[in-house]
Amino acid sequence: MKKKWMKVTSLVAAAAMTVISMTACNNEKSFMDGMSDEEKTAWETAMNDPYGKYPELVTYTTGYNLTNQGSDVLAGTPYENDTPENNAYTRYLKEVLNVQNENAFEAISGPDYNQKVSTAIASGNIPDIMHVADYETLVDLVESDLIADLTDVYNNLACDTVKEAYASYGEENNPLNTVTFDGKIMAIPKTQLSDGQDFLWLRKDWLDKLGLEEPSTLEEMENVLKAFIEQDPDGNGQNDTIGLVVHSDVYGDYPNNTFAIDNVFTAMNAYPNIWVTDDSGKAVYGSVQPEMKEPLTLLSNWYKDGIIDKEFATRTTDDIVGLISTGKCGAFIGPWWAPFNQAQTSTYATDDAEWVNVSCPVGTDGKINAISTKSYAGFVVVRKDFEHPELAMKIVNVNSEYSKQDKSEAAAEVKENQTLAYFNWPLYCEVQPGNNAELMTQNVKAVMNGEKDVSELTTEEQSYYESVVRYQEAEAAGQKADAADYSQYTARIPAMTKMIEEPANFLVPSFFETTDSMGSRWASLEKMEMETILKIITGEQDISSFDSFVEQWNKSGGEKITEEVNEMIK
Amino acid sequence: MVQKKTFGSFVAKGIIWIIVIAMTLSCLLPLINMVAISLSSSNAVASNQVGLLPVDFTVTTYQKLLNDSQFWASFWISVKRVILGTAINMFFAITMAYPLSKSKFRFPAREIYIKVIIFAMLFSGGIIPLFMVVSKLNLVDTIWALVLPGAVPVFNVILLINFFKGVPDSLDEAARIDGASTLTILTKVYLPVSLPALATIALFSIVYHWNDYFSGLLYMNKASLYPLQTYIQQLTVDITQITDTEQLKQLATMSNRAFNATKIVVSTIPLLVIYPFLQKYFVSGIVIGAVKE
Repeated sequence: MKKKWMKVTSLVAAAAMTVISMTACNNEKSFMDGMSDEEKTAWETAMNDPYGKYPELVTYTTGYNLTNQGSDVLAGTPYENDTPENNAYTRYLKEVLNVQNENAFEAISGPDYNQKVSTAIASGNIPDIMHVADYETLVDLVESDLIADLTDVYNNLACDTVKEAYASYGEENNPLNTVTFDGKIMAIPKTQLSDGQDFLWLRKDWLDKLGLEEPSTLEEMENVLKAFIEQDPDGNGQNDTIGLVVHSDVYGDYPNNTFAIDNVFTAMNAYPNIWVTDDSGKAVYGSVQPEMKEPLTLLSNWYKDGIIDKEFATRTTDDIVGLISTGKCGAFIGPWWAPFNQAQTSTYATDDAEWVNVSCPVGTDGKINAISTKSYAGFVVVRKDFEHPELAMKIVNVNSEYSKQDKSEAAAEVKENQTLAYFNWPLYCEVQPGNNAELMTQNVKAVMNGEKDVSELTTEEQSYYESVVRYQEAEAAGQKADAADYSQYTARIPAMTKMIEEPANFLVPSFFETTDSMGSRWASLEKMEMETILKIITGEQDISSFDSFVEQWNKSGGEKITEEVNEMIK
Repeated sequence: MVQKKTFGSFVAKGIIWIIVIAMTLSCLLPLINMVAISLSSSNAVASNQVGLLPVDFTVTTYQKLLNDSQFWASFWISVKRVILGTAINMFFAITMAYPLSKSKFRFPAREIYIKVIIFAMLFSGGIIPLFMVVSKLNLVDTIWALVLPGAVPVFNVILLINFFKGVPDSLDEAARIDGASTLTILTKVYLPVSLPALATIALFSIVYHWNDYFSGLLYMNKASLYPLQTYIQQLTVDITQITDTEQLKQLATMSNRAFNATKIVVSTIPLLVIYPFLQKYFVSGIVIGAVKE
């Protein structure tokens, strides 16, 4: 029923669009009153060109995302007097498009920024253009009719990179689906990088010392971890090493939660913490399925044998990083960018550690079972009645395409600021294909192999290439490379290569968002779940208590939420 | 009177000492740990080697802090806020507590006022209405947004009411017979004998204004206007989700914990300095001997 309605409305919208585009030439806006025809044409040309520069400065109010680096990272650079309204990014946009942001609010991206957005909405005073992070807020804005329809803007002005990037997610998972309400595109979605699969990161130097092969199955993994505990890989003569460190949340937020061990579950076809489609086509919650019993039994055995850290339930992430940094542990599960973690950079610098990512533990078909992330990571919305809705699209174009191909001095300033990482692009919305990280690695490798010239790389790829060169030069000279170069090299070249060459099976969760009852019940259900999981792994409860947990879970609201989820995805 | 030293009293004393020492340590150790971290090298901090003594002693983070202009800008905003906020708090607390400390025969509407302020202490409109009021009054992004919403510190008012009640009425009457006006009685009689209470509530106000980070986050729309604690809070927020390559770069340049610890240590110094100055007022028994019954 809903689908049919959407078809009808999209037809109507399409018809309306034709009419609008036919009348576009006469589509005068109020700010053009009193302009000569020449001026009007200049404005219209600029407004209908993806990169058109406005004849006069256009000022827009916005919410600005900062990063939590602290402005001190700018000290001593040419940028120390930059502000959120006057920095490399805003100067660049001013030069390319002749636009200037005026910040209605600024905050660190994340909860702080989101709170600013909610107070702005509640006080009925939203900025001209802003980034909103979550889907519920978008729905709110659409329902309260506060934001503009961007269908025309998108169709007329989105650059090829943006269009192709959205299409690369496939028809089902296209980010545009999420922002289409009654056939109208109400926001420009920011894409979420496909984060790839988690790997088992191991100290290669320990493997070599103990004469071990890189593991692949769960059984091989167990043997390697046992050897890491028993055979004194750090060679200090003491029995003080830990097998596998485990995040106190055990699983969830795949694959962003470095040290979580989702892979152990997925290797046995259990998919905790996400909504999966069962055999009958219904959405069910992975953590309460019978498949969970097998990995839980295994983990409780591992816990008993000390293969996983005995104190994992009480360790903070900092504690875990500490264990690895001091060379007490040489194995953890994490994504391809784990080399950015201080656990790796400090052992590289002080302990001669050599980290490798291994596709392990694999499922029955020899591949890692991974979980897909959602395709969108926020939305750019435009206030209703704002005179230049096309401005949002143009900034996203410049961010996602133009700036990357621009080799001018102004663009170099932007590139330099990316490594400083205090300011962000206004609107905070880069659209890139889901496999962008892979593509960049392939381009950088092509230059390394001599198949491509450096000048063919985008500015971003060039900065990675430079890191790689610096790393290799330092290593060749027998020195330790800078931590940042080590991270870029290890993550982008060997780790990413493995990700490309050893693909995983990706399961797309059937539902990403929240339902009505989740607001009041979900927190306590998750707490109940985590307590049970921890108790079973640490042996405080027998595996048989899993069934009574599932029953309890369903009774305490789980059943109702499952119904709601199925209703929403219908 | 000589106390008999029984085994029982010895044990009891021991237990009391153990509890007191444990409580002291639980307050002191985190502070010492923070100082130690701020004086250690960032590698030692990352690998959690720092306990109560610095590892690889260095003061580079302190040198670096001198160059952090936003830290000092925020520091200055906090200082202004404390001075202004405490002055406003004290003025309202004193002028409100004095009449309310009188009996309802002399101040018939007293009960109504008390009920209203207690109601306002227990229930509030919530964040969004509060924000809307402050923003409609055009206070957002000004220092007044940090001091005016909490101008009347109800809890302090109640403390002060009770202290004023303890001042003997005869002092009030004696001054009145000598021809003193109400204002003179308040400033020349009540305030001088209430120094311990005033020092206490002043300290409460100072600590509140210095430590509060949330109102800065709520009412300040520009990062350059953040008071110190808001600025520090921002540095300790974690990146939870990696959504784009820009965030990966941030991970690589993550501000180190040693530097953040330095900021925290420096931010606690003003309070540590103020405390001893207020302590000399924490003497009791000033009214003893003022009245002969």
